Amino acid sequence: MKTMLAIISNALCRITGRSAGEQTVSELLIGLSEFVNLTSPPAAAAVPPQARRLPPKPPPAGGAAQLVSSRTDQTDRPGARVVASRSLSDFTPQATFDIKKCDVHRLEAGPPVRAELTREQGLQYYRTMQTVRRMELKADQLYKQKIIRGFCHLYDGQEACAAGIEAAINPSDHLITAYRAHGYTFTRGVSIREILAELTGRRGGVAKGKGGSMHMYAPHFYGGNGIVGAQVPLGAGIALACQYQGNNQICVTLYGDGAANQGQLFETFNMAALWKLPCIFVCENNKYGMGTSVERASASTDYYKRGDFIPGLRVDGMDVLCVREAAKFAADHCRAGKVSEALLLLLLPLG
Amino acid sequence: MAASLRCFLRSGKRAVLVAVRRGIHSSSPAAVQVTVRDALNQAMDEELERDERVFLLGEEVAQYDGAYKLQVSRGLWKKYGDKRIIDTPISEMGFAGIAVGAAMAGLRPICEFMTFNFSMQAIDQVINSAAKTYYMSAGLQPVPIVFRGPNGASAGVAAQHSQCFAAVFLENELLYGVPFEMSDESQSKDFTIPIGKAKVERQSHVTLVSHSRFVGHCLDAAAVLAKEGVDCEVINLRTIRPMDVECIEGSVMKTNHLVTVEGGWPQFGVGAEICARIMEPAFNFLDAPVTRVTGVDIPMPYAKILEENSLPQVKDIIFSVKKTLNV
Repeated sequence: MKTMLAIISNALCRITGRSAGEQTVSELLIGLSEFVNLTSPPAAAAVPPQARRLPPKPPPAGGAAQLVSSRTDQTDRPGARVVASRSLSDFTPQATFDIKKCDVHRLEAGPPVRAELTREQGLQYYRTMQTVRRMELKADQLYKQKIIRGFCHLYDGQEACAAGIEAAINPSDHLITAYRAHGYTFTRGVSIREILAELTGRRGGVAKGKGGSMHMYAPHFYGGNGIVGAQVPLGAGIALACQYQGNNQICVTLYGDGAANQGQLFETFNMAALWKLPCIFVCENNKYGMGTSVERASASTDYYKRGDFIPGLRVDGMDVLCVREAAKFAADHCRAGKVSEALLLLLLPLG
Repeated sequence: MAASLRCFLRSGKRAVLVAVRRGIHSSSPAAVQVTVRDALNQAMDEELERDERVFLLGEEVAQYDGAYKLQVSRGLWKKYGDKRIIDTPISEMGFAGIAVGAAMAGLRPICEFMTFNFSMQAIDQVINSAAKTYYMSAGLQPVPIVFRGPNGASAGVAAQHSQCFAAVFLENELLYGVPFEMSDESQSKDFTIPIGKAKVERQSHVTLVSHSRFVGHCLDAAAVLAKEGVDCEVINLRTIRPMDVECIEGSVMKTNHLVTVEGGWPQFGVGAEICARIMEPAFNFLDAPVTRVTGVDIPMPYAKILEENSLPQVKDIIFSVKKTLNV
């Protein structure tokens, strides 16, 4: 035991540059604790159910550098060199990108073909998409280990849609989707911990383990719906409530290429156009509805045209900026005071 | 019943399935005769006035003043306008879903089905979207919606039991024009009756349990039997889910005989459920097996004579009571 402690204290001294033997291990650790947070942060105070929960903020730039000793006089060490050479003023604050032009249906013009991206936005979108990817891959693993039971519909590969749409709308807007909902659950403010706890059926889950993969809810996020296509009339109903209350909010209603053939969608398109509901319908086309390819299921795979009297856009769903610009364009198009709603088709080529 | 409808629209209570037949029956001197249709109309009017979030949605509820001859929503569109009384196209699944979505987003819709036969088109929205959501979301997402409409002689629609707010209100079309007494108290705008409580209409030898239109048949049968010296205790269930089993148990413990009467089919019906439910507490109190008087197990036929004979009639109830009592 004594030898173990000696080894540990030597290692720590080597890392931090203090002279070995001067202190016991515990004194050393106490001394080092100013650099490292050894305890978990206190449990968050109970949040009232209506409070907005935001995705976690990215750590401040250069956060990793804080773990290194603050004694910067020792510039011969590699870590110190990295810290010294980084500086925010070295990076440009924003850039403009050319994005793909969207095919339009019943519109004079589509969204702009150039998108501006600030550094903060870029980092935030990247962090969001990367987090969703990692979460979904982990969920995949847990599902194969049978720790997640029942259905587990994964969103890896489609993250740009969730990130792009969230970037285009306000937190006070509403969103509803089908069962491939984990990505949107995260972007709408539920923590990873609560999502994974819900998937594994624990009490700490967002629905206390009672809902599972397909039934996770948050303020202004209505799930998570198991019945294919049923969420589309619900979304129009939410838009009706927005219009009724006159609060200038919109509802983004997502569905897949499989649901695009459901009758209730066309009933909804009719009523939404008739009553001019502030609703954006988004079809995420990943080329397969359950196990059936779109060519075998749909007489017309131009899903953005199938709203008929509803204007439509065909968007590259793999490009977060393209999605953002299209969603922003659609949102402006249908906010209270403007004409009616829009239908976005987000194309997600596989592979 | 106006009180019941008010009760659903206001309460934050459990999922219910209610078959409503009448307003409060009382012999108070200042009572007024109100038809079922007017009672429903008044209830909706009072709730629309009281709460801005309430609105009515359905086929022909607005400009047509209520679907063909039913006229339950007569006058409401003139009073409240397009925003709160909304005519829909013939798209049950679509507008039921829209009503549920509006409820999720904070409004309090009344979704009217022209008849409950059409509600079968929207059954997914009623059960999976409206009824189950409160439970599946562990209380995060309430759905305060009322589905109402005339229910023909076919079996009622059952909303899934859960801790949610959705209510299905089954009215009997044949009773719309029938007037009943309403006491002064029940005419007040704030009068409500609790969900899940049955009403005992008369007292003794045998218990008759029923709901909706057939409570009237039971009372008529009871009147005939009283002349022969048989006293019947008639219970009006009022709510099917949650069912007031305590009331039935208490009554069976007194009378020791039970006959259930309903218009629906026998298999998996209300009578079957009552039999199963009172078995545990009241088995030893029964002097004879429970008899169910139900509709015939067929789809409703068209010819009048067939239609009449496929539903319980007063003579059927009298026959069952005598058989149970062995007289």
